[in-house]
Amino acid sequence: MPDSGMTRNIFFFAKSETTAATAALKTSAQAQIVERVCRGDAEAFGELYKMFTPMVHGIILARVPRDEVADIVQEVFLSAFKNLHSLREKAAVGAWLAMIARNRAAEFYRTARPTEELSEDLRQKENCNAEAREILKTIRSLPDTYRETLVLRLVEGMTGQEIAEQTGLTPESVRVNLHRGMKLLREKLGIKESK
Amino acid sequence: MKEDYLWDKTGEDAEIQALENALMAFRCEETAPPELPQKVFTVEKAEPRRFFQRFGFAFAAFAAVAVIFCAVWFQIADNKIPVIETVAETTAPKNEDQVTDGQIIKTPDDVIAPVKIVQTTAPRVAAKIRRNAVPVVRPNKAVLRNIKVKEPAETLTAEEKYAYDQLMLALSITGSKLKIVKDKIDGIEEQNAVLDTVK
Repeated sequence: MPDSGMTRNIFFFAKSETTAATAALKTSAQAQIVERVCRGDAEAFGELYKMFTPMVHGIILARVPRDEVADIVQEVFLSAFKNLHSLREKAAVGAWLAMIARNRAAEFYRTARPTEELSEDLRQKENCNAEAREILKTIRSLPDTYRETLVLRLVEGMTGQEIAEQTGLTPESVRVNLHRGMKLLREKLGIKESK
Repeated sequence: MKEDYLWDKTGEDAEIQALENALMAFRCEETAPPELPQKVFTVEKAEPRRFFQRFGFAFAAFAAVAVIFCAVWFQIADNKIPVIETVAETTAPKNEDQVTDGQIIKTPDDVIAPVKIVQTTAPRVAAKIRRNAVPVVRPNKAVLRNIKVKEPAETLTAEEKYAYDQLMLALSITGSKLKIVKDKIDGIEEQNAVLDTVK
C-alpha cells in the first residue's frame, strides 16, 4: 500500500500548511485589532475582549478560586488596555495577555483579601456541581503547564490549535501538554484509559 | 481517532466528552468588555537611540581633542616651535677703580661696558610627570623679559655723577686703607707670635 501511504503524507502536509496559513492570517488580524485599539477604537477593544476572554478566563481559572475569576479577567483587560502601547510585537498580543493573566493570578495570592461565607443558595448550587468541582480541583493539582492547557481544552472548549495560537505556545508543546496532562488526570481520577 | 478528539475535536471520545460536559459549568460566560476609562493618555514610546546617536557627540569631541593633541605633539617632536631669543642690551658704568700698592688707578668714567642678557626659552621636552616629584620653581619668563638694567648715566646729572664718583672713590680708598691696616695688624701679630715661640 505505498500509494495510500504517500497520499496520507500529502494530505498531512497539505493540512499542516493550511493550518499554518490560517494561523498567520489570524495573527495579522490580531495585530490589526491591536493597532486599532492603540488608536483609541473602543469597538476594536470589544473584539479583542471577545477574542481572548476564554483564554484569559481559563488561565485564571486554573489558578484562582472561581468566584474571583470574573473580576480578575476584567482587571487583566483593563491593565492590557492601559499598557497596550508598550507592546512592541502587536501580533503577540495573545501571549502577552496570557502573561498578564498569570501575573495577576500570582498577585491574587500575594495580596490578602477578606472572605465571606457562602449563602444557602450558593451552597446548594455548589453541591450540584460537586463532581465538576472535584474534577477542577484535580486539574488544579496538576503541574502548571498541564493544568492550564487542560482547563483551556476541557473547560473553555478550545482546540489544541486555538490554544497554541492564543497563548503563543507551539502546537507541539500544546499537544504534549494535553496528552501528558490527560494521562495524569486519568490517574488521579482513577479512570482507566479505554483502548 | 482518540487523540484527534483531544487535539481538534474530530472523532469521538466518550471519556473526554463526559469531562467536558461536567466542566462546562465553569466555562467563561460571554460578558461585556470592561468599561474603559474616559481618557487614555497613550504615550508614544520613543525609539531607542542607536549606539552612534547616543555616543556620536562624545566621539566627535574625543576625535577633535585627539587631533589637536597629535598636531601639537608632532610640532614639538619636529622642533617646529621657534625658540625665542630675547636680547636686552644695557649699559652700566664701569667705575671700579683698581688699587695697587696704595695707588689708585682710576678708570675712565665714560667707559661703559655693554651687558648682554640673553634670554632663551628652553626647548620643550616631553617628560613623564611623577606624582611624588619635588616641584621645581622656574623663573617667570614674563618677568625675565621685562627686566631692564638701570642706566645711571642717563638719569644722573653731571654734578650728581661727580658726587657719585667721588663717593665711590672715597669708599674704595677707605676700603683699601682698612685692608692695609688689617694686614699690618695681622703681620704684627704674626711677628709677636714668632717671637714668643723663639723666646
